[in-house]
Amino acid sequence: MSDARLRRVQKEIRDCAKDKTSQISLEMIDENPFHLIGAFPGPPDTPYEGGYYEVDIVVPDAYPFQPVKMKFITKVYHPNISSASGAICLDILKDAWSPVLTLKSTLISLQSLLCDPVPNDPQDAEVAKHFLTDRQSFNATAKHWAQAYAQAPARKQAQVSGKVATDAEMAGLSEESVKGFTEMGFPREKVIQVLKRLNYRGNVVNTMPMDTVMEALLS
Amino acid sequence: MSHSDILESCRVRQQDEILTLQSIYGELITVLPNPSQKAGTLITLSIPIVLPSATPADLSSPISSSLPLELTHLPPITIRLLLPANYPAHAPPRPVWMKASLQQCSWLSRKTCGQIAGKMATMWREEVSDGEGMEVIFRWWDWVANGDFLEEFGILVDGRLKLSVPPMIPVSTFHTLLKSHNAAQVHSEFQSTAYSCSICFENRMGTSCIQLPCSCIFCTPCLNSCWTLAITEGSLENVSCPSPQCVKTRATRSDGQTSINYIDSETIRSVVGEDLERRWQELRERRRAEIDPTYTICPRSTCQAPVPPPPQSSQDTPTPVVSGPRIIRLADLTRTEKTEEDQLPTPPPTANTEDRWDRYRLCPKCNYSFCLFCGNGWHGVHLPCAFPKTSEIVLEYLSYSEGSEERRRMEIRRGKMNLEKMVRQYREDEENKQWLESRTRPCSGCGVRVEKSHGCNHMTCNRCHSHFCYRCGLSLSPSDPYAHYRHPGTSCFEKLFDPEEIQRFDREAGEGMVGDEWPRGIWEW
Repeated sequence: MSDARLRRVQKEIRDCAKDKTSQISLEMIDENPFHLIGAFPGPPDTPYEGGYYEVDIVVPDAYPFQPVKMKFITKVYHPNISSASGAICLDILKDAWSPVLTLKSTLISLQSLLCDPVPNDPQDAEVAKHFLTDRQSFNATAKHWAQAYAQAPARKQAQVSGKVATDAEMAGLSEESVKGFTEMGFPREKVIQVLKRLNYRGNVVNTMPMDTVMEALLS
Repeated sequence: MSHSDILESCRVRQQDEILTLQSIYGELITVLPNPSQKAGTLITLSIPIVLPSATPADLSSPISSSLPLELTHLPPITIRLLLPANYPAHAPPRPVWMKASLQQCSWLSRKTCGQIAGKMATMWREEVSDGEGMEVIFRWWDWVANGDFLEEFGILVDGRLKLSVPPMIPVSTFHTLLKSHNAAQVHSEFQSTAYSCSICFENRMGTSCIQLPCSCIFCTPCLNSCWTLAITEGSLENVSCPSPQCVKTRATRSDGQTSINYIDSETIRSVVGEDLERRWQELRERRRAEIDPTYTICPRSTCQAPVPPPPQSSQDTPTPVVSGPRIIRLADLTRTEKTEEDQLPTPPPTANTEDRWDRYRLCPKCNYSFCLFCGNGWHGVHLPCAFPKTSEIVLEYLSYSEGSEERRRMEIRRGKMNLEKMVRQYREDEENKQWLESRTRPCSGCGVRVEKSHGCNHMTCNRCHSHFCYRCGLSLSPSDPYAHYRHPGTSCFEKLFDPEEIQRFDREAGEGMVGDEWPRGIWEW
């Protein structure tokens, strides 16, 4: 079986190298065909456009009868991808895996996952909340992340002003809300962490009682 | 052109036509020897008929509706032709005889055969121009082989074949003959075609491939690896078609559609061999036993095979018991000892013996015959079960204060060591039960206890693939399990993640990722 696994993976790598249209790349790590790095460009018309995303791929012993293990190496701001670990929540990597799927087709599925987030089945609860509360602010944050981590070119206006995203922007929070608490004397890092957890964005800013925030900051 | 010139040109044209036909149809066309050098040529054609798609067929019989039939391949038509010396220029080929044989009979009537043969002369006449005819056999062959003649002669009407059963043979035999001819042709066509296996990406001949009921095709070695792994790991769901569409259909199927994509045991045996097929059967039985409350598990610790209910009990409707003993199910006995103590009256001696046969079970694997209620060897219908009194005794013992006279009396009667052992066992069981109840939830489908280590509250049972909510235990729709967390006002609204889980995310975000280390458990989620 392991022979068949090697043959298949080698064939997949060859086929992927031949295919120039899909823009998917597959590279072995240390010539090991069972540990690879896959990469693809962020899909157009999304906050991830222009970014280049790398994925760590581990081919299990029983491949293709067991799903391939994939996680993002590039940090991604996306409801179904853990912002911390890069772990991915996608059905075909779990119970909907089929041995007919390939490394390439799975990477293409990841690419389309970037196009169509499934916030109801999130991997990263905080990001999912952000996505559901304030789409505009979510898109901006995702774009900041793409620029900071996935080498996406900064927006034109930003380039003119030479502005680099602030830590508040990277967390998808408004500078105004962060400032409000740092001026009370709380350390900036802590404020950002707490506001992020409380999803202090959009309408939540107006509705959340001040006490709740203070309690979280003091705990 | 002189007469002999014409004959010579016809001879050459005939030879060319026969050579061409032979190069296309090979052995289906034979030239008969002509030792006496008579004018003209005798040839035999055997034309297999292949319809463009599987076509339902009705037989001319009142019981035809009970014999469903779908055909792509019809038995060949054999015709012997005399090509006159002046064919193709001045005469059509002359059919000598024709048959549409199926074993000893003919599946087309004599009249239809005549019509089909007659068409050849008609076709030849249609091609005549400037007083000279054309070669016509290929065109006629095509017209027969594609089944075009069926429509022309009213045998194929509105996409259904109307076949008349030949006299002297029973309709069922005719049906079987047509069906087996079709199956044999389909099979040999499959075997001689090359398929690209979508698992190993290699091209293989049909002889080493298999087509599943969903019509997906894989090579047998790949399917063998796939199913062997699934059977060894006990994931019955995966002993089915591995194509992404079929997998998706299974993953999102609703309850009650468990038979989707199930593969019959014969196919499984042909792919994985007898031993694994037997194990698959066992697993399936056990799975059924886990879900079906009428099944029980053989109480012998070395056997543990699933035991189905006796066949007659399924037909009997439960008779209302007027004065007989209260029927106690096995589940009642194992639930809690407390209720046992309260509710367990010894069945009166007037027990209805008819009822007790319901409790008789025979293990199909080890042949142990036992009582469903008490798990002891079958004690016959006349004897009541010897119910285990252990917990009753323990509770009685514990109800007396330590060092009391009652306890001392019990100790004398049953042995102090024994009682202490029973108490220890009882406490351990209680603790286990409490732990199970506080730390696990039952699956809404099969009741197996599930412990959540981390992740969201949407659970998919590893065993029966039911979807359920870990918070409230409700079973969820497989097609959209997350809908449960989106309805404002319900207790689980926006509770897909517990607060602890979100804090865990926070911690991870704080720690960040370290090199190549995979966070433990993330993948299992």
